[in-house]
Amino acid sequence: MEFEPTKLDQDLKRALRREVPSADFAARVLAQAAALEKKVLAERTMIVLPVWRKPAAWAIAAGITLAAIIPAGVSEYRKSEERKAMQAGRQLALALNITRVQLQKTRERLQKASKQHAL
Amino acid sequence: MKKLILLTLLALPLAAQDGFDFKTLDKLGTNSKNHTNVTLDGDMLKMAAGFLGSGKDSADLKALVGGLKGIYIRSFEFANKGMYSPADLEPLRNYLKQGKWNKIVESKEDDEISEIYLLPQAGGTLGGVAIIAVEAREVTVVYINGTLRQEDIAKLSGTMGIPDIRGDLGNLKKIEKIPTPKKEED
Repeated sequence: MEFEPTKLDQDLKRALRREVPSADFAARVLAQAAALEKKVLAERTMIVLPVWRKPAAWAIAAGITLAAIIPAGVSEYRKSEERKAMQAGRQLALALNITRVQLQKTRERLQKASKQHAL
Repeated sequence: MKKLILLTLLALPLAAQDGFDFKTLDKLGTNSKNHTNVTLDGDMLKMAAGFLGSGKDSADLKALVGGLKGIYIRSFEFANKGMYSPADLEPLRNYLKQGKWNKIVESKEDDEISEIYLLPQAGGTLGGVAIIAVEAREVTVVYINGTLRQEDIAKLSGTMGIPDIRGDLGNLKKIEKIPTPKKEED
């Protein structure tokens, strides 16, 4: 039984037939490869360039910010503690003065009462 | 159980002020013209002691303050007579009666009443001093909690080391109305 080539066989045979490349084929392939490499390198350079995407840049920025904020925060905390202590000192002096006055008044009343009693 | 937790939570502020809730005295000052309210607990007292200056008298006073746990003052001044209810002082008197406090002075003269209470503790020291001073237009309560010696009371009634803060008070102006005590004659 004779095998009859189908249309698919004919199409395959035509597509896979050996052809002689044109004279500039190798040059064109090399040129395309060079262009592709250039494009890839250019894209890679663009990804690396932005400073805000560099972790080291972020670390430096954070360090500078902390160096500026921490001393200011510590100074403000100290001032606040000093204010509190000063206010507490005034309150203590006020409390001791009121106590002194009340003890004095009581003593004066007792002395007065004792003098009246003696008379 | 819930009631127990609730009672414990309600008791916390009382414990913070060492047994007596000074808010109960707030009613006393409802109609007051001026009032002075000082609440100094342990940490605040330590902080404040640093402002007592230097010198022997101040050192003595610092030592005295160092033994204290709290100072609470409520002083109210009224424009006219009869603007407060003396009954509002009863919660404090009842508290002092319930404890081991001894009333060592009670002086009454016209509208003026002075009461001094001391809390004796082991070793001949005191655990606190309370003063209730009532006048026609002024009521003052002083409550000092902490370890004191008998001679400390004399120090408190003198001027030794107590800074004169009149004119340097900022918003605490009430002291300007308190007369400077006369020099001791004895």
